[in-house]
Amino acid sequence: MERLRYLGLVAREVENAIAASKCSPEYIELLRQVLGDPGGILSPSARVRWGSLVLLTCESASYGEWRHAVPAAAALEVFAASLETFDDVEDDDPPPPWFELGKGHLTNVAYGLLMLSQQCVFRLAKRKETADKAMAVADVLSGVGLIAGSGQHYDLLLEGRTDVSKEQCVEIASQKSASLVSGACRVGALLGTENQDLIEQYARFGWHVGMAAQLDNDIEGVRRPGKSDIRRFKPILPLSFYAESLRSDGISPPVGEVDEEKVRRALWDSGAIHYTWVIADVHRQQAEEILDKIEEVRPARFLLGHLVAPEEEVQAVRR
Amino acid sequence: MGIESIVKQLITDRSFRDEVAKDPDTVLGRFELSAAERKSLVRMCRNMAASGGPSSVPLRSEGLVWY
Repeated sequence: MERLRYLGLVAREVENAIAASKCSPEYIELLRQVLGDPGGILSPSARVRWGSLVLLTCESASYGEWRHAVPAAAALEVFAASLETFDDVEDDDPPPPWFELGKGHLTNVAYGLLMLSQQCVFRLAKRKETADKAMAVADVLSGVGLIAGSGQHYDLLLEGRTDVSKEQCVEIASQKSASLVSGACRVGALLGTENQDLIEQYARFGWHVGMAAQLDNDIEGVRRPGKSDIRRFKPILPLSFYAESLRSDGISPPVGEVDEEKVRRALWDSGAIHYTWVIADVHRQQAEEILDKIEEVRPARFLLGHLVAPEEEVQAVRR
Repeated sequence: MGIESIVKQLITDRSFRDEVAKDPDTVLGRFELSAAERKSLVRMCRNMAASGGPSSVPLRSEGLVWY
């Protein structure tokens, strides 16, 4: 499978970037451990996630060439791992079970990953065929990183509040997540074509895919017991819809410690889950429309269509 | 009626749900909705019909975003 080949090459690229660093063996081990977490690029159960967006978009935009984009795919994987690690620390999530050092150390690992992602971009700059694109890739990464930081700021600021509007929740999802997916697609596209209009289309496609994915993720966050989204009353669409429904019925939304199970049931009964699903599905359709436009000039459906798969191809989740 | 109210009515009012599933263009055509919103609401209705009620939503099994 071509996509499995992606995986091995991106993982090797990350390993090469780590090996080229002058870090101590202990610090390198920590970087590897975070990247080796389940699903991470260096784990046995690795899935190419962010990197695959880069490679698939590049392959689509360039009519089939993608190998030259591997360092950029590695940069995206490491960049996303860095942001996820920072996010875990900021959210005060429990550190991974294998991580015996304190949160200060975990922050320092997140910092190291951020620097490592820059090293991956420099590796792109050192290759003749991609040297002229490396600056643009660095520009995209730092730009979306800043936007994601801004989204995280509002996420932290508005946590626990029950008066957050649906529009604010959508804006946070856009900044924290959709911007990153859009950035990954933009990086792949700019490594695959010089056509600026086409690059914009891939980026817009990624933004809608990112919105849909984040909203799906928000449903998962409130649906599953054990997740902290309800307890912390995160500024996410289903909770905002629920609080708004209560207010429109003249009921004050819960403040402080909430009965999670009761809220979880109410999220289904109030339509909050269904509403969030509808908005996610609208974004999927918008992504699909853009994909159809791209398909007129580039092979796109075959490579990127699975990201907007219709409901028949996905599982139903129950209350 | 906005999309929020339509969603609420769809999950609480079975006859409205059946009407939408049977003739979506006429029923949803009464509301100011985009084509994509209409299509999503119809998908939701059909999913409810297939699963026997508003107790499930079709969700991608694996998201791209983790936080």
